[in-house]
Amino acid sequence: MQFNEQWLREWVNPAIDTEQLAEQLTTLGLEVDAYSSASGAFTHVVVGEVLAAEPHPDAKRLRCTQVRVGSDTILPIVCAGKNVRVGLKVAVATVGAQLPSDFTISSTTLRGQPSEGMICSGKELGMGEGLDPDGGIMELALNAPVGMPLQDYLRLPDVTFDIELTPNRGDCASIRGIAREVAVKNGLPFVPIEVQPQLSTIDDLPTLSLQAEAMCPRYAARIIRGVDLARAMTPMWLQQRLIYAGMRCVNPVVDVMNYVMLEWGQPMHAFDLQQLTGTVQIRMAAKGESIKLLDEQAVSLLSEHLIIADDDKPLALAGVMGGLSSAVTLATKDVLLESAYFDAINIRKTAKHFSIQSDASYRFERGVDPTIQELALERATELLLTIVGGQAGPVVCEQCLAYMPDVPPILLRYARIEKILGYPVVRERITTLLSALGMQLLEQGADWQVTVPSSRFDVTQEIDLIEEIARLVGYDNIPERPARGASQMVNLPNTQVTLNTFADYWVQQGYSEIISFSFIDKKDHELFQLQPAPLALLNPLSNDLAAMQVSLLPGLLSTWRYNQNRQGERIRLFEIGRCFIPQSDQSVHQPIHLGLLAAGDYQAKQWGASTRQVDFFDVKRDVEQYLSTFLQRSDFSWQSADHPMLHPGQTAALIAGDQQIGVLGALHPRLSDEYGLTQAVILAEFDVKLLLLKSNVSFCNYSRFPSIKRDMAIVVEQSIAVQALVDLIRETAGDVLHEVEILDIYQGESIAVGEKSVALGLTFQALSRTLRETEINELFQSLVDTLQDRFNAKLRA
Amino acid sequence: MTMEIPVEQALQQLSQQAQQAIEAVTDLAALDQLRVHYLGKTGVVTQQLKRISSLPKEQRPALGQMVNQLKRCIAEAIEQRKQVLNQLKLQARLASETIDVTLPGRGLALGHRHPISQIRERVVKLFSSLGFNVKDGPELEDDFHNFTALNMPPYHPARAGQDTFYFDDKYLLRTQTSPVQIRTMETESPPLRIVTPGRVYRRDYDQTHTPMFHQLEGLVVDQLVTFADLKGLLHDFLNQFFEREVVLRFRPSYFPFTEPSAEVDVQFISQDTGEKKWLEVLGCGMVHPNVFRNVKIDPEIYQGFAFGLGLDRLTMLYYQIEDLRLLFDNDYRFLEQF
Repeated sequence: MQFNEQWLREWVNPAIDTEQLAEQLTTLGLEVDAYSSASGAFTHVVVGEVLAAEPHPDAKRLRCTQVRVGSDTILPIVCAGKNVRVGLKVAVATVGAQLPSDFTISSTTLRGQPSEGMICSGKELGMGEGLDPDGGIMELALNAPVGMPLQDYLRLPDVTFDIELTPNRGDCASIRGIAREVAVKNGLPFVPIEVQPQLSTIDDLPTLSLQAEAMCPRYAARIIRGVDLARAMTPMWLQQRLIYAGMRCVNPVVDVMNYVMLEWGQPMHAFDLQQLTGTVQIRMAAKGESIKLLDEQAVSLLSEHLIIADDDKPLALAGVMGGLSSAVTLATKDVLLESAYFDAINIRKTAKHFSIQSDASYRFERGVDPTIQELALERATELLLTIVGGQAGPVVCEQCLAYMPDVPPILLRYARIEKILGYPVVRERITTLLSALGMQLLEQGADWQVTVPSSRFDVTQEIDLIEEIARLVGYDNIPERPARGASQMVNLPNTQVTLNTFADYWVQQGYSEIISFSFIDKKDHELFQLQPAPLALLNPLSNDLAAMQVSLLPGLLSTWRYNQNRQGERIRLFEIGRCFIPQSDQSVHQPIHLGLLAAGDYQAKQWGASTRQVDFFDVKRDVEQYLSTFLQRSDFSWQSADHPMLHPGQTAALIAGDQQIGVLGALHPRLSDEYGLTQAVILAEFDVKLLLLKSNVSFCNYSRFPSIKRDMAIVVEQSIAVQALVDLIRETAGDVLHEVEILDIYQGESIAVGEKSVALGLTFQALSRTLRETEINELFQSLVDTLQDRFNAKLRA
Repeated sequence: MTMEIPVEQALQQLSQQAQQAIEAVTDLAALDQLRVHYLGKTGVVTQQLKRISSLPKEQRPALGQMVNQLKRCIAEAIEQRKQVLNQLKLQARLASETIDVTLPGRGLALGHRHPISQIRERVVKLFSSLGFNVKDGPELEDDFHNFTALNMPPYHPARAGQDTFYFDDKYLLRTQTSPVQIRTMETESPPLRIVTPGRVYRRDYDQTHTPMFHQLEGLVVDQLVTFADLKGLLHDFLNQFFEREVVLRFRPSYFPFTEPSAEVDVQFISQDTGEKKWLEVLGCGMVHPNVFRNVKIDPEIYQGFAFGLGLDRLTMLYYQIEDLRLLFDNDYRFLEQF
């Protein structure tokens, strides 16, 4: 809501300056986004009358004018304004005038013609372009007194306010509503301007047929005949107010409609009566009907859209926008004025359906005082008759009281106020403040029955009244109570690793956290061959943000490429975020994932240390170290696996119980080639749920008896997984085998092609006794035999 | 008496030779060889001692004294030289082992936590200290939990202010973390004290908006928690968060799920100009009775308050980051500063 300060002060004029007024509005909940001077600073600009305007002999675009600026002062002025013509009243900056942006007018010659001043546009005076027809000079009213200082004529200086209205305060989308708030805050009486009912001078009655009563409980209208739009002009003060409010000036009838809406909050509409045939109907549209709106957009109507129609055609999309065919133009002679009360939800649906937000729909959606339709009609008539003349007929009002809002009195309990606010407000203060808002209070024991004025349709419950009291007392005047802790401590489950600890672990391993959007480009999803198909948004912002990610890996990869393009060398990234995985039963699983990316050098290039490319086992170590430090390493195992983004020979799945909880592997060469990458990229992704669940640790006694070490070097087929060998050894040896270390894997000289040598270091130790050499020798032999049986392993000489 | 002079002279010569030899020696092994040469069992000095027995008896004590004197002198000189050589050896070693201590240390670098996460943890820690538990909930939400239960029935004008990503009529990306409050109140009984950090989504992308951002909301439900408690709690929080006594402004505002509602501004004073400026950091209010009714909590018995803050905005404010989009570019030159 935008408006100028003078208009507000016509309604209520507290003894505070502009800055204080702005501060006050904000503390009332009417947040002032901005306030600024309505014009630039200027001096020596006066009203002038153009007496002559001849083409400049040497310049096509210029005119040589004679402008009268005083009873006997006529100035020659060269002017570039397209609209300058004889008889026009204009703003003249005389010699010596200071204009905004430090521009001084001096006596000069323009292409050989003398010029003793400048005819100004509104823009040149820092008033915006709203008052300048088509980029020309500002046209003042014909009755503007010649020689009068322009500040006096335009009532400057003035200040424009821009208020950010919250959706509940539709009542403050009007000067009337804001004035009430300011009056209450300053303890001043609120006296609305007086509106005189206009006596009808003709008998013409519009024929109304209110059919959709639920959607339009009240419809008031009146005919005015004989308006003269061709010669009438909207007064400057009214034009200025519309422009300060951010609106456009159209013609005097439309301008008055808008003015009354700004003043009272009641949107209005005017039809060109000659374009109407028969009865004015307020009804739901029939499917298949269409209308061309004022903004020249043709729309097809559905049965849920409320329209105003005549016998032949739809005339307006009710409460949203009028139709082009019945619009008031300069040729209009007779008008039908409409002032109605429409159902807010229906207007919202319609406006949303057509994606139109007009000043009317903005107000109807938020609510309009259901009692002021006729008053607004009277106010508009009063203004119109003065400006464009004509004769008014009687007001006709169709209504259906059953659908009018009915707010019964609200019980306000005195004790409840302190219980919610934590602060006792004295009774007299409560009655004073609420009465000032126009509420009627009826005492009922310690409490009140409160009747709310029709303009405050947002107040429907006791809590709304308590808010009004808090707001008017001032939030800053309600004392704070010191913060108190809970009577219970927070939950601290020791079987849960917190996400924070988890994230910190990855930071300590050298990974930096990224946060990327949870969306994915469908093209990327296809390129990566990820499964299942991602969940698509109905209304995405753009193609690259059109669906929900099923994996964090694409985001990590693109972040790495972004950084690599910027000469990143060694990169370790991680992200913890949600994925959205469509299930076969139409539901969507939303697990939190951990994604890892390691690329480039194993460690940053540095003096005194050689480096190498990061590989699968570096990242595997980071994961395994987490498992053994925070969880039970033995609860997890790795298996060779497939993943569309990963190298088929370098991918492992992490298994917990019988569940695969993630994968780790090198980027698929197909993708490296696609991106032209030469560096190694290792990726991993896990569902974090099981990675955060730990079992409570209970201490196990350790052996104090000596251990025996034996190394074993065996040769097996290359395809046999070392893990399988270790598992078999553990299984066969039982409890006395304390530890198995993998000392070396060797292929090459002295080992047959297709085979590998595996060197293992075995440590034997018993919990309660000293092991005998012979016993271990026998066990060692049986291990060798079993390995031979199962894997055809040969002990290496 | 012809013998007297040659012996003494010989001893003196010997002494001089020995002193010179010891001074000239530069390593411990050569010094040890000298020791053997002079003082060993067959050494030169030992030989002199043996000669004494061949002298007349009355000369022996004086000569013996002289030889012993010589022996002590040489031993002492060797010992002194040994100390000097040890000292030199240590100095040589130290010199050879000296490193350039200004060279940087070696090894693997640590990573960095994203600044939003750091701010989130800071906020969570502060609220945990007063007994708030952290709650999480789905980001793909239904209309009921994201809007209707929060006193925003279909076609409520406040819905227009939150441009929403939809999947169909019913499902959407949550526009706020408030649905987690609803889900908690549906499953747990008061008293409640929770905070709900998380990602939220709105259909908006420009200089000051990203389609995904981060919120943290808090909720307290109990029999007697008031607007005065809300003010006190948030003031304490902001004091602790900014580590100074902040000046606050509680401004009336509107959220469908709270009433009375407020926005909280913190006063910042420009270090350059001294100009005072209010910056909005929080929204809050008393939980609307309709919300309690929607989750079957009796608003006559229980009441409470809720508050919410934008973690991204708070992060920008805290670290003086001017451009919101930097938070999601994940540029290494950005990440490594935190």
